[in-house]
Amino acid sequence: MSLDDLVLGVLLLPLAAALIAGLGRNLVGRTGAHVLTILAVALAFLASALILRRVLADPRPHVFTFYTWMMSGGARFAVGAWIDRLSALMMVVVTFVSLAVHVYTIGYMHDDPGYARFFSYLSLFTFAMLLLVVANNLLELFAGWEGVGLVSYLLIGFWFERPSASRAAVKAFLLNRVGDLAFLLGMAVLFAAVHTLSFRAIFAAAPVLGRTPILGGSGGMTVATAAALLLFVGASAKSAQIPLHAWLPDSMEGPTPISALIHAATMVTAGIYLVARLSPLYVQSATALSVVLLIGALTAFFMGLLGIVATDIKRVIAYSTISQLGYMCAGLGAGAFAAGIFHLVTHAFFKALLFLGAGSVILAMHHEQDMRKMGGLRRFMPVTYITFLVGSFALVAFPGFSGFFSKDAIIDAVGRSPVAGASLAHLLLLGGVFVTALYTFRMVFLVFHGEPRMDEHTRAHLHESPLVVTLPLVALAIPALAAGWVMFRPLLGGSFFAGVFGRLPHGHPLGFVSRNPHLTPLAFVAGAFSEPSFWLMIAGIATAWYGYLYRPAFPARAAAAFHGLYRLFVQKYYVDVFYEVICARAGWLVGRGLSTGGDRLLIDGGLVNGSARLVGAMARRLRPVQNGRLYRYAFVMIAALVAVLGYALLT
Amino acid sequence: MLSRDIWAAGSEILIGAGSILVLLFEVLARRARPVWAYRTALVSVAVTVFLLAAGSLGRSGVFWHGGLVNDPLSRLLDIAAGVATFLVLVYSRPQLVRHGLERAEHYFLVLTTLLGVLVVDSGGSLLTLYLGLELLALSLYALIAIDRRRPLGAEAAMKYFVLGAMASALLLYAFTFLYGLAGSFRLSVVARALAAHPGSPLTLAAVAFVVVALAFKFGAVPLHFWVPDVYEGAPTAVTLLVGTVPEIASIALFMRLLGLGLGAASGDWGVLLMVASLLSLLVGNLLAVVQLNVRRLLGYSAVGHVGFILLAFQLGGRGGETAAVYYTIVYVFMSAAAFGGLTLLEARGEKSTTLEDLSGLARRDPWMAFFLLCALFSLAGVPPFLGFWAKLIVLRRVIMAHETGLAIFAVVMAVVAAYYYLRVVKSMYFDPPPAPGGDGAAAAAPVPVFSRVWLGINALGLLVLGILPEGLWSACRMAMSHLLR
Amino acid sequence: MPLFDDLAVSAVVFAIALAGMFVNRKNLVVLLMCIELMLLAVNTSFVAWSAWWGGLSGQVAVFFVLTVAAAEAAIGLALLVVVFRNKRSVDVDTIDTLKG
Repeated sequence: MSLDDLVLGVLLLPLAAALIAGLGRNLVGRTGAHVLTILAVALAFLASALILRRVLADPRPHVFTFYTWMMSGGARFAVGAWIDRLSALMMVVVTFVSLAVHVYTIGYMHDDPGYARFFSYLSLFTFAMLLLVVANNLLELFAGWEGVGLVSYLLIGFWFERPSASRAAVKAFLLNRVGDLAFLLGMAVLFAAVHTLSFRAIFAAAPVLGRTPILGGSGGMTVATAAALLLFVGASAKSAQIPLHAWLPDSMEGPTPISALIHAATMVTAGIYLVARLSPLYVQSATALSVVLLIGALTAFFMGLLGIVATDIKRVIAYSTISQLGYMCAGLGAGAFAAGIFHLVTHAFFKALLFLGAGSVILAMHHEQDMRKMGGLRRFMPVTYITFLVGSFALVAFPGFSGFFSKDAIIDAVGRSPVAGASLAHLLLLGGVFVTALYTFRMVFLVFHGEPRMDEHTRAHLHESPLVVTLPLVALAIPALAAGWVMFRPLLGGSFFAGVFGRLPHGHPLGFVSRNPHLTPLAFVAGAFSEPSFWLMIAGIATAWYGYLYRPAFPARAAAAFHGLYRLFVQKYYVDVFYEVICARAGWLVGRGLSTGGDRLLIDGGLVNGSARLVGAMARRLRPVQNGRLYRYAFVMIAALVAVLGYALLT
Repeated sequence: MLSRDIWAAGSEILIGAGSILVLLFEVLARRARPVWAYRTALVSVAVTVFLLAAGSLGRSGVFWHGGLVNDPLSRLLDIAAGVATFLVLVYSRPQLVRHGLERAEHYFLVLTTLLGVLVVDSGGSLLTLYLGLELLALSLYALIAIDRRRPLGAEAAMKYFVLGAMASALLLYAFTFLYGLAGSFRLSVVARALAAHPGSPLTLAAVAFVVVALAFKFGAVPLHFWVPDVYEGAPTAVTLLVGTVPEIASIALFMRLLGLGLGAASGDWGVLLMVASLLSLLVGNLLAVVQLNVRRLLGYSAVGHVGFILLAFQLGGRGGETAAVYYTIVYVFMSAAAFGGLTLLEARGEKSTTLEDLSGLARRDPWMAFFLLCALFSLAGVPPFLGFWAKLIVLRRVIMAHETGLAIFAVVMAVVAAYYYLRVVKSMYFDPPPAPGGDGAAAAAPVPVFSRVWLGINALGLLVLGILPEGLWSACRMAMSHLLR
Repeated sequence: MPLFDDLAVSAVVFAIALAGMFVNRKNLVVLLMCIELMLLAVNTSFVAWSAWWGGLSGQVAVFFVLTVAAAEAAIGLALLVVVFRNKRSVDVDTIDTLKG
């Protein structure tokens, strides 16, 4: 099969499955829905693997156009594909995680009345994400971008009868809307400068854009900076970076498979992918890179802190997701695009693993998510425990686990980056290591160790989850453990991403490893024990052990001692309050003013109802002309003829 | 020479043969069920469309002293008319069967209507155009009155006949002027003669008569009077035909006669068409607002759409004409879906006459309501649907010609149009169903899956092609860039 | 000037027919007659031009027009019968149910 056929297959199979399972759910039934969608996603995964094999043999980007969507004023908008090693790798990751989540959903959603609908959404989401990944122009990418946003909205609000779920869905939608607006503006800036949105043209024009002042002025911001910053605002909404992060913890109202697929492994990485994809543009703007770096580092540290006080198991993982996305952002901002994408890949595996593990726990606890009511679960759920532990070690970057390779590569690259603000970012990221270890092992200890704190009834029914749940856990634990060893050399050694990313004027985009091309994974692991990040991580684990196993009274005392700080964390830095009280209220007041003053009086009263009355009055006047009599009709025709003749002959 | 070139008229020959076959069923095998006539008609239309699309019906060129022109435009319009006729046949049969109206002669007349359209599409001489037009019109007169027990049908047919015959006579009278000017019926000769005598009284008189006659055929104000009466009076299955296939002939007539034949006088007819266009937009849309009868509403809305088509056409250049052709083709398929939905509702045993009859449809038959919703949204020009692109392309042409005032007027009228289309949607989706009457509710019968599926393809096609609009548009541009005469 | 005379006759006949279309408010049959009259005027005009050009195509066209006119008359009369059956009248005034 030719490459473009494969790409089309990867795109269309999940779409077709989603449509059939969604629209024809009465036709195919529950079993049909999951068989169909899983088959489609499995085939898409196989095809993605084939595509990756092809591009491994031939590193040049393969660019196709499937369909010219429209021509407008000389600009061509097409649906196509840009297949290089970056997009091929993303396709494999997306389809693999999606496949695992599809299988897992059979067990998790078993008793849900919206079973077929759920599978349809999952496949639809997979399609949108793949469209985003393979796009060869910004508009197509935006279509996928909006697609994942829409499905995310539908899935967060999947249990729409819960008010909190529909509120969370609306919140996610609104904050993403802010990002989408910036994204659109960024596209507009690029379109105005390049007159097309295809990546090829944008990359070719990037060096010029880096020197062209925006708005034709002299000095000030360049086109590249403006576009890169606007697009990053879009990216930061989707990837939950400060200050547009607030929707992600709330999105945990959705069913757990969704949290795993969308809010951990795939959709939230769309922003990271966007920046990496457009790296030739970003390297043209030092300002934009600094912003990306600092926003990422701030997010990595401060969002991690919130994980320490959260009590809902899924919220802890959600904050850790935000924090890890911050690490990826920081890597990109430092110019270490390969390290950022590497972390994206490893994170997709171990975070999906953690979420599915949490889901397994929640299932066993009869949908109880409060960690204070768990404890000692390791005896009842050995498989879940071990796989969860693997994911946790990967998350805290314990040497040898996948997260270690990518995260330490980012920290190191940021430490050596020439981008402004790198030293501050480096400190924040190092602090983040401690925080990560603390909240992760707090969670592990609270859930799996110590005395069981659940009620008798729940405790009596505790048991390991069924095979469809544990199988994906094991399947994800393997890459969470091993992916680092396999991918370290090619991804960071330089050859895999050769030519994919833009390069900084000073410094190497691939981070530090390529300076020492002979560095083996083993040597990297061995070297880690002398790095501060390792000891910070150990300190974090030790603190968690002290506070949650050895001296369980300690956290309460600490919270009392640092009362103000604790409240700040519990209130999530008052960001929600800010949005709700200031933004929402102000918007509401403005809206009410416009509604009574402008809308109801002027628009409704004057324009709408007024024009409707006018239309009605004119129509009533015209209507009697059509009186049904033939001679009237003939007369008007002949009168028209005479008028036309008169006009033609007299002028 | 003839033996080879005979295939230039391949589509006309196939449809003609099909219609004769259908007629033979009626004459020779009276006892054969009319379903065989239906199948024959369906197959001959399908085969013709297939062969046309495959490009195997004759080469491009001008044949028989201009009597017949084979160019990409005639092919495109033939295919559009063929597909529309196919849909019309598929939608109308269940309704005809249910109301006991299915007879072979109905299908015969549908085929001769199509034959007339095909002849007009590829007419290269005045005589061909006239003959094609008459074939089309005479078939329609007969079809409208085909249900002899229906007084409204007879009345509509009579009105349409008298006015239509008058318009044909006007057109023919204009042809005598053109013949007098050129000494030939061939459009290319007429065009040359016109270019040689710019502004002669004979030319101007001819232009005036032609514009009036063509405006009548298309149903533009002030020659639109027949449109609402026929749409309301004809049997639903025939309204479905009247509202779709003949529009193709109308745009072909405009292209061949005005665009190619009288192109030299475009300054003279451009102004006239602009006035007709503005009046059509105004009167058609305003009067549609006050209608309670859905078919009459769609009739006035058709007048409004003709306003849009003429708005593009009056710009004169090839760009405007291309937009007009595109709009017409899009309109035909939107109209087919809308009337198809109404026809199939009647086949279910429901009434589809007034807005009230449609209320609560979404609850009775969600799929049918959804198909109608697609058609109505597309007609209203709501963005992802195909109708949106048609309006957009016309408006862009108008703005490019620096006629911003006209564009604004057209947009305002499109908003008025959106109002009455959405009112139908509201009635289907938000109004409570009518109280179950004595006969209506119990009689609901299933509609054949074949017809429903085609309606689904038609309606969803409006959505899918709206999301992927480039294909049809570039086909139109291609057809319009290789015109022959 | 035979051409001018012929054309004038044709134009006058055509105008009379046109006037008959709306002046007559009584009988549908008269409308059918007016239509025939219009086609007659057209044929006169065709023949006149044909003679002026010295070609035959105009006269051939007359045969086509005659044929179509015959078909038209047939359909017109058939419609008249249908209308009469439904309304028991051929008054123009009686067919005004469809309006507005």
